Amino acid sequence: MKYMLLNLKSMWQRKWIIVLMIVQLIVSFWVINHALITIETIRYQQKQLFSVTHMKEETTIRLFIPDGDDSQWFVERFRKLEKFIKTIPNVKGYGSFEETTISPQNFANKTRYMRKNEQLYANTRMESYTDSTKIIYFDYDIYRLFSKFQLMKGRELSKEDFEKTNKDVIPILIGYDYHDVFHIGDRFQALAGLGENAFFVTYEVVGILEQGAKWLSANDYLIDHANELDRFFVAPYFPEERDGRPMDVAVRLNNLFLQLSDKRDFSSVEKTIEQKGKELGIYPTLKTISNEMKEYENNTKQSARFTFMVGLFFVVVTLIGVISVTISSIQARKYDIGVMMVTGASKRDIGRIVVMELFLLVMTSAIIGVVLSYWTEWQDTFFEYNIRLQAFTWSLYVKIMVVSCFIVLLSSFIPLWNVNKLALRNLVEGRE
Amino acid sequence: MFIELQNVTKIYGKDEYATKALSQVSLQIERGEFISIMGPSGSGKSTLLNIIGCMDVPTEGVYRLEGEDVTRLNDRQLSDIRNKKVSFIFQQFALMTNFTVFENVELPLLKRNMSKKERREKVEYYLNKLGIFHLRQKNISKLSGGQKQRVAIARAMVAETNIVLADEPTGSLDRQNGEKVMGLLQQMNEEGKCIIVITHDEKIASYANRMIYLSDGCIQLDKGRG
Ligand SMILES: Nc1ncnc2c1ncn2[C@@H]1O[C@H](COP(=O)(O)OP(=O)(O)OP(=O)(O)O)[C@@H](O)[C@H]1O
Ligand SMILES: [Mg+2]
Repeated sequence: MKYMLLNLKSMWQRKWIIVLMIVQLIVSFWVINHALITIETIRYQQKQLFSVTHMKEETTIRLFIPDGDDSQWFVERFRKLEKFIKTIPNVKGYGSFEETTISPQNFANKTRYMRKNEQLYANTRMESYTDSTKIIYFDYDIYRLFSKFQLMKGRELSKEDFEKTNKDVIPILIGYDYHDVFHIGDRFQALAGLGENAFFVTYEVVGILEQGAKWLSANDYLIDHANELDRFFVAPYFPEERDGRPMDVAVRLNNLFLQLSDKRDFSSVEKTIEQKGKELGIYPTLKTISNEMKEYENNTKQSARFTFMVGLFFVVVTLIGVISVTISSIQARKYDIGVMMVTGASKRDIGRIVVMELFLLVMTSAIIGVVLSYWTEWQDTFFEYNIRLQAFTWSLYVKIMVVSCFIVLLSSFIPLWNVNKLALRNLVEGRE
Repeated sequence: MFIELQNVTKIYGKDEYATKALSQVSLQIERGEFISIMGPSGSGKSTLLNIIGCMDVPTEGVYRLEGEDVTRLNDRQLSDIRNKKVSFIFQQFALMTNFTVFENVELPLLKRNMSKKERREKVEYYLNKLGIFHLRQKNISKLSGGQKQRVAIARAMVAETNIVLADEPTGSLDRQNGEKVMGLLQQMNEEGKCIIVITHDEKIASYANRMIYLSDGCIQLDKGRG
């Protein structure tokens, strides 16, 4: 299509109006992308849960206590409820996990450890905490039933590891990034408890996690991006960390899970736990993972749909702009079009030029729109990894392509009809 | 027969707005003729030329170009004829004003199967021949009328078509430039091309060896045939 080069020059001569059109298109794409990303993200979130854990849609249950807090009154009752849950025959497992940071001390490799962290934390929110590492504490059932991560070296945690006292040596697993800092059998200490009551707990490295090991975010296991454990520690709960202060208990409320042996047990287990809760004066509710997912999906989709409609509205407004600009540029170039036709261009050639131009505009805008969306998502959570960035895959790009082609199609229609109406004899003689 | 019109009628508009620009025109033209068309304003000269050049189609009648019935062709086929068989030169030049001399002259070649290099060589050859090579990167809007018409002629030459149609090619030029243009057309005729020129100027018409006089859409006179 050798006419295209000529048209590029003509577009350059009309550059300002074209830039304005592109800006308008970019805004539309940006809004539409936002909706598409939200919908894509749901899929990714669901996939993530099952790829990172052994949780089961129908038999893994989340326990909520909506009124739970860190008061002594509540904590006492909650402990009773926990004890009770463990005695229910159809409950195969119960527990929680928690994410915090510790500062290893009193060990030989400390300088090396700090230097490692300087590297790992450069340009992150952890930058000024090079003496600390994030750690995930597990209850035995959660570790045993749900964790999927493998070891590169050393041994897994065993049942006894989860039954230590505050005075015992606590076994710990080290993330892959620390494999050249710690060795199996290395020990270090870290403070547990708070203020006057703080004391040193001794940890011993028993294993090193395989590269790329993952576990759920303790902040929101379903929605947030999973933690990459390469720069994490993993350890069993010990009494002070798990139940030491009311605050520790309240933190765990965010991540309480039960595993049933059979999904048919759900309603009976639900009834039993709710009954017990009522007796205690706290009001627990249960939800299967699949139900929670569905609720989340429905809410999110609804808001995504709204955003999408706003995007479509923008597209319609933009379309009107694009169509009128295209028509008026055809009108303005009638003489030139006539000249091209006199020298052999057919109406189809002219139409092709018009469509190519629209295609170029829309595609440019779509690409800039995607880049802009990526950039805003990335800005949104600069320090922590944003799960929405995971939505930038071919599936998203294909959808945007479809939307783009649709826009090109709709905006070509009227201008093409316009071209088809042109009468050559009138063009060159200036009658039109 | 090279060009053959049989009872060609052209009517513009419909019903009470209808204008008969040509009525029952029959005409035969041989390869290599140099023809001038004269006649009062509104007599249908441009209409006739546009039909011969496939810019327009007759309302009635048959037009055969090299034996092919052009009235049956679609837009794409007509555009192919405009590209390969006829070139136009207009009073108002018909050049793309915001483009360079080179780009304008190259236009007919864009539809041909030629490499960029071949196109450039051909365009530069004709620009040289017409003495406007130095203007090749200039925008059309920066040229004088005489220079513009030279560019238009260069474009007609580059196309290397057997028919060159000129609608009052000297109408916007002074005498000197007009004569130069006619000299070039004559040169093209000597190279074997069929030239048809519309003019109001007897002197210009005398370059041709056949003169057709139109009035009210009919051929009144066909002088010097054969
Ligand atoms: N596109 C058109 N629509 C309607 N009428 C037209 C159109 N083009 C030409 N006409 C009419 O057809 C008739 C012939 O026009 P044409 O342009 O062929 O005349 P001409 O001989 O070239 O005149 P001039 O010497 O002024 O250029 C005129 O009456 C003109 O008004
Ligand atoms: Mg005329």
